[in-house]
Amino acid sequence: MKLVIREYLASLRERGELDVVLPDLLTELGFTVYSRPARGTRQYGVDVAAVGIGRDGVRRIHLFSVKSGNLDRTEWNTASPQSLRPSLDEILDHYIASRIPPEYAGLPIAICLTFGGDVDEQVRAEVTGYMNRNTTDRISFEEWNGDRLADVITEGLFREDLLPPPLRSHLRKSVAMVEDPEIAIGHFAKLLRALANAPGETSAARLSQARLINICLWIMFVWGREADNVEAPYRASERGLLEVWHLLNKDVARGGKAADAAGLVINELVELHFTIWDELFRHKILPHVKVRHAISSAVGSHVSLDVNLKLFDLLGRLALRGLWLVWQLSPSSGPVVLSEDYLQSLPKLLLGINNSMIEQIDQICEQLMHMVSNNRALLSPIGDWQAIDIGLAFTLLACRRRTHSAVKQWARELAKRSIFAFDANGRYPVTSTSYWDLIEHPTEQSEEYRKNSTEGSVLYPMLALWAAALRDREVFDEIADFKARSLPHCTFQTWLPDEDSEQGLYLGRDNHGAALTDIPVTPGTWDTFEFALKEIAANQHYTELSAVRLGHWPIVLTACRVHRLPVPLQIWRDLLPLVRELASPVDAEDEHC
Amino acid sequence: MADRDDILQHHAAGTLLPLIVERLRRRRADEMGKAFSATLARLHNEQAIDVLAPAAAIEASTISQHEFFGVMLAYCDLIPELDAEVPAMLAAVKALVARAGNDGAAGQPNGAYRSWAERGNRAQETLAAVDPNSPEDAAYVFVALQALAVREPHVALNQAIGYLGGSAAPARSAAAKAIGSMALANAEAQLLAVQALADASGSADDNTLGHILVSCCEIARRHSGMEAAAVDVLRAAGSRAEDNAIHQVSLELMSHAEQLSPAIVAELTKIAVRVTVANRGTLDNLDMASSSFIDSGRLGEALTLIEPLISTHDDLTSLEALNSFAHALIRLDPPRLANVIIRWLRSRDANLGRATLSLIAEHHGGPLVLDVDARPLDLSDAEVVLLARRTIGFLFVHPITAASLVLGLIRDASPAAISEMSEILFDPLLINFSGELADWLKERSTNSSDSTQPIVSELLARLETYIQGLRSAGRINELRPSERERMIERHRQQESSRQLHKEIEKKSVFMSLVSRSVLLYGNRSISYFEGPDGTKRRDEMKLHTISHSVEAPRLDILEPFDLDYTLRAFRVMRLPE
Repeated sequence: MKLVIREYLASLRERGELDVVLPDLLTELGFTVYSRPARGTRQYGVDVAAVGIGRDGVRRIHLFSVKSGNLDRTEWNTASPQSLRPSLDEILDHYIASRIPPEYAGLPIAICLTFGGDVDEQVRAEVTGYMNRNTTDRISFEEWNGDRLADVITEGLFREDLLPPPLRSHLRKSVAMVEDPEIAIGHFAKLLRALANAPGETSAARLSQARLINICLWIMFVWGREADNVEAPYRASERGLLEVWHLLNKDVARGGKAADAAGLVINELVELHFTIWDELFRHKILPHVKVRHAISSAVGSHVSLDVNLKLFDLLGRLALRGLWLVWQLSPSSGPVVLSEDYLQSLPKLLLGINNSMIEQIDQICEQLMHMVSNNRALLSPIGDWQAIDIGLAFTLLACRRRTHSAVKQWARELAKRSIFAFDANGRYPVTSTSYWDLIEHPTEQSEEYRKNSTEGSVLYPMLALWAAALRDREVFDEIADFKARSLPHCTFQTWLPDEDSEQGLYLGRDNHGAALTDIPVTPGTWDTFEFALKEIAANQHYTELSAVRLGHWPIVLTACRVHRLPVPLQIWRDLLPLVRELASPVDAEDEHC
Repeated sequence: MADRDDILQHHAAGTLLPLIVERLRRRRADEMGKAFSATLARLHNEQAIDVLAPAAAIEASTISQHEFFGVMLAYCDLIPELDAEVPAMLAAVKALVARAGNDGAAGQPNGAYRSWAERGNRAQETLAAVDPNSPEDAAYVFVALQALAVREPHVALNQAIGYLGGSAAPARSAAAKAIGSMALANAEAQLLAVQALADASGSADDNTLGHILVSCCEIARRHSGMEAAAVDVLRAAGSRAEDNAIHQVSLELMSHAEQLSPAIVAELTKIAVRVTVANRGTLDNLDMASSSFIDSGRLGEALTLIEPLISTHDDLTSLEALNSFAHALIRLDPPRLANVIIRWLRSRDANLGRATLSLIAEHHGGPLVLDVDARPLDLSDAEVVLLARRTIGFLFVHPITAASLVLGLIRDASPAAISEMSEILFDPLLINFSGELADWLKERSTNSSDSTQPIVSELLARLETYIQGLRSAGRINELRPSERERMIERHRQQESSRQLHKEIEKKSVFMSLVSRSVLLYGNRSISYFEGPDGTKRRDEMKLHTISHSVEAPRLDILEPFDLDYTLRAFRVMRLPE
């Protein structure tokens, strides 16, 4: 296990990685971390500062200056401000003089040279000489290399009461199999399940469990990154986040220090997920979304089903990331159209940040639209359940006025192609999620097969709902006619949380939620829209979910994406009426003409 | 002397047929065989034996069917040489024909009978002996009339006309058929014959009508002066033709495609295209006829005969039932073949479009390159673009053929049409087949005298940009299907290949001829087989690999719906009203 951890530590990067993990490790060792890494603020060479008892039993201030990998000549001392020696000089010259909190002013100080690997022999003499020269009665130097950090992890977070041997085995296997994501995620899920089944009795114990999940995810991520495949860590990070939310949401609700600590860990998990998202999307996917077929082709399969499944999965992931950004600007109740008027209503102090956020949201929307137009398999869902990913993407695009027309156009294409595929007995959307079924689909041209494959649908009513919101009469009526003509046997439905969902939603248990059935789609009306709004008003279970109550609605969407549940109608409570209002009847008529 | 004794001995023992089998097996045509047959005939004519009696009783004989055909052929040689009364000869010949059943050679004894009946008064005696109302005897009315016509053509014609005007349907049918086969010496006889056929056509049953139509054709074929009269009969009576008559017509077309005049062929075609396609025999004849037309340079008549059939019968679009026609077309020189394909694609007939695809599939070897000269077609911009779309829509899986046709069309098009056609040459054609088609275009782009060279070069440049785009993303590990999914796909692929292999084996002529051995080890087989002399011989065979690869269209994996939708749209496109 220690080898796994050492390898992980050696592969960590300084910025946003080793320095981010370190506070959790110190906390588990009993240290009080009073300064965490923050970007953009001057740290005077200190990445993490904590007070705790050292190996010699003396209570000290520990000032950590963190570098990644091995400490070689470049890392030790060059003109770069990122080199360690200039940082140490800064600590000695400035930090100790002016930045030590008054309550710790009398404590001895240990300056900790922290790096994931080892000291390169070429610079060993220089490092030792520097430490000896600058050691005083008050100031000492410590070397926190990969080996020591690995000890910190095994003796702290991975201590046997927190991570017993069977769970270590799952972690080891998930890391070893990181290039086969199905297997890796299977082992990681077992680890998560074991923790979920035995939540800590105290908030501190639960926090320890959450930190353990965090560090396990980090280990898995770093290994995955080294193997050039972060699929398993990506999926594990979503599950881990949901798991930790389930574990800590009551602590968050309770308020106080425990709530702050819980919030911190949840935030770390969200950030880790975003880091993994960046690794996959920013580095591998998004640079190619503007190139025709580049992403489809990158699946590297000769089976069209594989391309279809992967593209819709990516779509959901991309949209969800955009919605996390939307969340930061929206009211806590849910997403809204981020119009100029709305943005003006936000505090002026945050104008710069908000503008940058909007820029990022617009960029993701644009990338999403490029992905759809350059990978047209995204116009032809093969599974009815791909409505989940489409629903997430619609939600994101609906948050910006400029992309409403894209939703309209895309919904049109989705409806037209799905109906055509059904009529032509082609690869129309089916309810089955089995790869066996999907790869053979359509196995038969018989009417019975078609009926069995389309007994229920969340896709068509969702398309009808958005067509109604966008006042697209042609598409709405087309779906209505299709329902009457070809799908009288099909139950138009959607999923809504119920009173049991709080216990089951985040962990992916299947004994919760309700299906809202018989969603009407009648030609010449907008009855789907009216029906949906009525149910949204009547059904309060959604607002009772902890993630919604505590203003973290993207967690619900993450759960829906991960555990394959349709986007609940209530998420659109504010959005849909706004979208409809913006799609003025006059515009709609004009477009219709 | 030995033959004579053997024959007498076996005749007495009632084993004459096995003796014939033994003596004439593989020897029928050599000196020994001929001598044996001559001895048989002589002994019969000397009344030492009755060689016809075993033939008349052959239905009950224990000789195998394979042996029977040897015996039957021996009798066909013997019959013209035998002295016999009509009833005895008829009984023997009928028995031989009956035992032969539906075999193609079953009519051969009747041929021998006709030769026999040409002598003496046998033809008239035959006509007197047979029952004109018996369908079984109709064949003997026919052969007797033919035999009679050899020596007394006028008498034969008059007697045939008599039957034709009579009420016995089997005899009418036989007479109608016989008239067509008679040598009509002068215009008077020819006119008389055609008039009689015309008169009888009104009340003829379908079988007789068929013979009437065919006899008219035969008379016209031999006597060009009778063509107009024959055409009149075909035109007047053809519309009443049903399955039997259409079958007769198909036989006539098949047998004499090259000799029938265009006017006669035109009328026969009108009748033939009403064929019921379930009647595979009739369809086969028409298939052969069309092939003969094409081979004799009468392409237009072949197309007029077959196109309506394809057009109205979906299951003929595969051209499986019209393979002779397809083979003959594919043997045409490229410009003429291109014209046929363009004609079918322009027809806006979906079945002909599908048949185009089947036709190209008949071409083996390298890709079929067709250069079309669109100038004589005088197409508008809209028409030429539509034709290009239909070409790609139907011939998509033969990208080089499709591209060669479109590049032919592009040559004389306007800039606007060129732009549209270049676009569809790129997508969906080149984008899907960036291997074989691109290689072909690269080769073509080196030809500076080709007026389409700039277009081809631009297409290749666009393709390079597209491929670069794909390469830039490469394979993304995170998007790889899981091992489980790959395993399922492999299993499905194996199962599908296994089923396909089984189907192919079932249909394979080769596999039905050879025995099958599965080798578990090595790449060389050593076996022993028994030669004709009974000795074992060692056979050693080195095994070789046979492989074949086909380029799958890229979008069938990346955007299957779009590809399918686009091609469907291309196939059904129409010009705006």
